[in-house]
Amino acid sequence: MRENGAALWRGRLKAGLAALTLLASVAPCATAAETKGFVVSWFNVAEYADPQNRDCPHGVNDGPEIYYRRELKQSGLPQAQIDKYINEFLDLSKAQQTIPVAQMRGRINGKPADVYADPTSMPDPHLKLVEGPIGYGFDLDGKDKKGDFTDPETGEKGVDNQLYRVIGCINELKTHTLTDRPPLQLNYWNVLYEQMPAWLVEISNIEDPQNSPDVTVTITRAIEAPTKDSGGNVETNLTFTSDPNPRWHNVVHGRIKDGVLTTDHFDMNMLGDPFWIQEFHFKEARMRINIAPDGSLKAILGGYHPWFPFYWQYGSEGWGVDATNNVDLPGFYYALKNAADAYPDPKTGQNTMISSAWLMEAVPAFITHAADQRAELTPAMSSEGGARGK
Amino acid sequence: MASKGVILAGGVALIVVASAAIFGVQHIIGDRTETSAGLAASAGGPPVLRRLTQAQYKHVIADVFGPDIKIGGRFEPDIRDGGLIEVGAGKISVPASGLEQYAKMARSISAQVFDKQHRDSMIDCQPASVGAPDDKCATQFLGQVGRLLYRRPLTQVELGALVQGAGDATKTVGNFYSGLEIALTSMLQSPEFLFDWEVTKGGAAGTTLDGYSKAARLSFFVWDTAPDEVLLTAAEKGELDTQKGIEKQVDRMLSSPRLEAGARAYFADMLGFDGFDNLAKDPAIYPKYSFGLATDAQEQTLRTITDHLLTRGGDYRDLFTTRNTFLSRQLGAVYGIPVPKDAPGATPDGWQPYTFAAGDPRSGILMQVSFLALHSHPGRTSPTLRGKALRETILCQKVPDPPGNVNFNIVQDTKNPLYKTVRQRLSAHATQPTCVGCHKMMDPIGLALENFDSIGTYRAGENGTTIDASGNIDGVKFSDAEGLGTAVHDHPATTACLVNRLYAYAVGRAPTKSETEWLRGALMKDFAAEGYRLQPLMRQIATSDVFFRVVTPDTESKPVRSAALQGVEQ
Repeated sequence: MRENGAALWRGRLKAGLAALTLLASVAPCATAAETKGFVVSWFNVAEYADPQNRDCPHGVNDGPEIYYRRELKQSGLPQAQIDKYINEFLDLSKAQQTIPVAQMRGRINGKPADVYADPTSMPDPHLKLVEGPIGYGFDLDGKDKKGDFTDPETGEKGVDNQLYRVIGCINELKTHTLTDRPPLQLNYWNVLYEQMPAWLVEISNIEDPQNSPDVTVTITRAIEAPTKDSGGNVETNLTFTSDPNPRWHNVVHGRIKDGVLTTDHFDMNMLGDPFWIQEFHFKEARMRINIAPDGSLKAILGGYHPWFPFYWQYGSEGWGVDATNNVDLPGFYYALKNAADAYPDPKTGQNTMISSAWLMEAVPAFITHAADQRAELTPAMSSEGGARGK
Repeated sequence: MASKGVILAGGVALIVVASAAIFGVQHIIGDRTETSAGLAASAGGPPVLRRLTQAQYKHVIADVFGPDIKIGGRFEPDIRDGGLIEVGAGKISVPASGLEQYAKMARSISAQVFDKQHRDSMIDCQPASVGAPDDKCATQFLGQVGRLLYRRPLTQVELGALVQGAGDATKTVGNFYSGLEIALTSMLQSPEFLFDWEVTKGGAAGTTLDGYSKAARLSFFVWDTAPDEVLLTAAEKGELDTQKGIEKQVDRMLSSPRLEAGARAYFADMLGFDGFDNLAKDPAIYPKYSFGLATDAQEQTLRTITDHLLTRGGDYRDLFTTRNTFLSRQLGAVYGIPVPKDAPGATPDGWQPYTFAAGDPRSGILMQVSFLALHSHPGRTSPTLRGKALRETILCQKVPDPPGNVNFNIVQDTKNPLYKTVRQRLSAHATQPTCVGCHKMMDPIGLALENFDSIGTYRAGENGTTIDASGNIDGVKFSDAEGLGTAVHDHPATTACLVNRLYAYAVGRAPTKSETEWLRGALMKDFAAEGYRLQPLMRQIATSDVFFRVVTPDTESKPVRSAALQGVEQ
């Protein structure tokens, strides 16, 4: 078992940091209330893999061999050509040659069309959606409607999480157990994580970790990227500099009751990555946060978000996702569009946003603010850390 | 071909030197040593033949050709003797595999020196024709560079052979610079470059090193690199044969920024930082340990030392109690300290000064990651290893190796519910009669550092039990690591050890009996009088008449191999 001494930070704020002139101004903060800093180690759609298999009662969506065969037939391609295409597609040495066929399986005025650029060039294949009763999140609209989920942690009914409904039965996008990660998102995360500026979470004015009526949660972007330790996990207790750009500075009031922090509603904006979601823009967001004894943070963030970026995350990659990750992209587009449930376009009536819930995990970090050179606090943890100093 | 002949000659000579190193350097040195009379037989020690350490090789190449010359290939491992690599360097040869590596590095360096990026800044002259030999220009270049690499002027024979080789190669290859490149490659493989030969001469006062050997000894001691042009010129003019001339050069060298590199080299050697090359930690237990952390840990300690001893001119003993240090972002994660990139004093490379507050359990270099991690097991701490390291590294005291049949089961089982802390496990282990004697020397020291885990992270307890960090060293009791630091600060062997080991480092061998008497007597008094500051101590050594005295094989008193240890045991 690793024994973590980072717990000693509170004592250090009074002692060690006071030695740094620039940080001396924060010493008075360390009276009763406490601030904790974290760096986000995982952020993705909160999915519930139902142990009773109620989430996808009809199984997961088909793989590409099946939907290519079906959709190419639908496009009017002769059966012989379809068979030839599928044979080549299944032959790894020839698979690349089939890209144009798959990509141009749409039809506009009878002519082949790029289904990734224009998914509506193909009829809706009607992907299988999550049908189970359980799903993480919040009742965003204040209505317990038919089909809404019940949160497995809080028992809250009327949970709106249509994003989970769309992705939860796609093999590469779903979680298969209560603890694993969805494979495709995990790949994205692993590739991008150490190259993308870190996301930071600060919780300030904690008077009592179990009950504090008036805390502030700040979610910002860092200047530095996070790093992983020798065990492959996000390194704890590193120092990050908060990006002073106000666009990515999100502040919300909250309270801690019985050890669970819940926030008010807020709009949250955060820079992602061009190879992921380029920018996140949540409306009517809210959070539920738990801090574990080891100092790590686990939260559910719920809110409405524009649905199109979720399509374009994969649609921009096209065949690579369509053919190798079991995501029938035109079907994914239709599913998102149909599941969107808020903020209708005033002209078309089409909902522009989709309800969602996201799992955020974070580990202790030191956060400093570039703008005012102010050091914030950080982790409290470890059963054996004890008080630092004498 | 003559050019090949030059290279072959260099290679053969290297092998000869390697063999000589194996069978004893005195045979070679003896041939080049003039018999002298007049010096007391008990003064000084034998000359040495030292292979350049890895660090010295790199420093010399950077000094002569510039810091952007990359050094490819693997160095032959250095060996440690009497607690120092610098002493081991005098007892080491070059096997065939090592020769290949030196040849590879030589080719790589030469190719860079003569590439288009560097060539014009390296060579002061222009050949009459690039396609033909130019003995004048070749002589000028090879003479200048050879003087710096061999740390003395090349003899006419040496220079003539190199110039002829370069010319022959030019005719074959059709390019003047390619010819020079081949000649430089041969120089870089030569034993005259790879080994620091000490040559002696007789005088009215007795046998001593010749001027160039004095220059090299001074330079490798103070700067960890070869003599610069000024020092070589001083040697050439005979200025190093006078006390005034030596003092002038020593004072110049001690006031040079290069002193820091010299101090870093000594303390990295003394503290055994080469051990990090083979240090591993279990990533499942200590995921924060990485190559980057290990590098930063060494850097932290070396910055702490040079800042305290050189910048502040501090008392050496205070290294064990000082609260001043430097932190990087990665070290901050281990120490649990924020390291803002824009903090006062922060450097662009991410380092910043930091002072542990009074009451913080961390102070002194013994409580830094470098010492704590280097002397621990991959998955657990080791008060025994830490205690042993402190005794041998800081106090120059020898701890016997454990017997071969020791049962370590109790100390290795960190989850035994009967023995929750290391103290409890060691107490049980030390009930074995064959173990208790040595463990009494080590464990009471190392247990004081138990609040720091195998990579130096602070911990208050182990397996749910509060750690008792009390201990004692040679009758001085303390209650925690800070107390240990104070005890080491006050221990008379701490300063005596530095004096002995620094002298051994400077001369490349264990001090002789007569030298040890001087170290323990006059030099220790001077060191104390100067407030235990490093620079005055280095000056005392470098300007003393003992430093360059030589006792030849016929007249020397036998070197006391463990004088560094015997001289300081309390």
